Amino acid sequence: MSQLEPWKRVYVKKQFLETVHGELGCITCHGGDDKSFNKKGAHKNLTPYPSEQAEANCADCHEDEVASFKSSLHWNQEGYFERFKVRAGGKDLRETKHLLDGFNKDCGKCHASCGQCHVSRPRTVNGGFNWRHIFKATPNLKNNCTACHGSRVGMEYTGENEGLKEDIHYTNLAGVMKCEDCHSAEEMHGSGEKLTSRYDVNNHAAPKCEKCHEDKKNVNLYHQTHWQKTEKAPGLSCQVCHSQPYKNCNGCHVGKGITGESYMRFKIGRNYLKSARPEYDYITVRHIPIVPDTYANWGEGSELTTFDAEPTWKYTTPHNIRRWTAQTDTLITKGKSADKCFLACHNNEQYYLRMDSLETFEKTANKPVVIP
Amino acid sequence: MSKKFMYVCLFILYFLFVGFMNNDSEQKEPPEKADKGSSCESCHTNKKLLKKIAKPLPESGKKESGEG
Repeated sequence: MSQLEPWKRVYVKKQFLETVHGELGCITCHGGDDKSFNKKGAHKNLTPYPSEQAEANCADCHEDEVASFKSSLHWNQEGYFERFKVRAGGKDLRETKHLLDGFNKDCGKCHASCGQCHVSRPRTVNGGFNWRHIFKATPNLKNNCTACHGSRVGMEYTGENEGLKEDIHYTNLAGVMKCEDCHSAEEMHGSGEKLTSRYDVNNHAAPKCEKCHEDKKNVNLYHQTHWQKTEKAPGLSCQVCHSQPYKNCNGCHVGKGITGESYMRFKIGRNYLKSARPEYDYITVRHIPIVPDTYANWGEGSELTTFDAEPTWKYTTPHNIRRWTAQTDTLITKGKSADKCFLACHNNEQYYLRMDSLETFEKTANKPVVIP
Repeated sequence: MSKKFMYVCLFILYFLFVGFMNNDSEQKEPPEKADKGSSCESCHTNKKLLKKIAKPLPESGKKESGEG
């Protein structure tokens, strides 16, 4: 994503000064000296990102949001710490200064404060005002959400991956659906309950296809068979049938570790997160670029001593949903309904995550996920 | 004659309209330093001044972050 020109990053529209936030006065949130005659003096003790101290600067008017936001994964990055902990024998990297320093250098940039959604672009893309300092209740899909969630989710959703179509929700008959149509403010702001991942069973505000499409449960033989686990057939996540191939990462921006090009792949694996979605036996999985020495440049104590505790092919919900995919296009497959299903999906070995397709170092970690 | 007069009037009205709609403030002679008595707003709402003095962020030397 291209960065804003320097002047655009800090240019304030006069209309902002007439808004509720503008009428507070600049130094109320930003500090500095509004009586100084030059830039250096005016910027002395400046707080460029006041929402990083939301309790001090935002809570007077937004008490509830500030309180619940502490539990938001966007703010606390708890998922990152949990993933490290599980693979590092239970070690919390926050308890060791040099590990936390390493984390902040390599991963901390993805932490998002209030301002990085409601006022500016995220700091991962060098920030700058989105709307000339005017506050917006709804973040912008391009300049906020996909500024961070761009190369996987963003490109999937808008159809920028070559040879693949955009998500149907992006171009459905009702108009463009944006992130907030599925990912509510409640989900983004947190509920006060501690979460350790976006698929955490306590993330009650997480989007579910059934919220809008429950009426499709019995609409055809495939839904009747696989909507959820029954005695006769396994339950499949919606994406197993309705997702297109998606980006799998094989290189990481963190120091050493795995290096390589990302690749487009569609893989079905066993649901190892039954606590989150017990009705699914099979899910789509995406490769993540982690190896035992990924964090080696953080120094002593960064070894992932229990690397095998979590898979490297992770539960994923690709944002490239189509009604008709290679798995579901039984309209062009000849034969009876049951045969079509078999030919389009069951008989396609390429879809299934198998042990023999894995690198040696990750075979044990993915035992719960591979299809025998 | 009356048609010409009407078109000239419309022309003038159009430019007056465009002029009123342009509400970004720009000082005629933007100073390097803020004038006595100015505030944060007088600099940060001044597009011409910012174009002259705003600098890009220093290179951090860090690789661009990956994404989720």
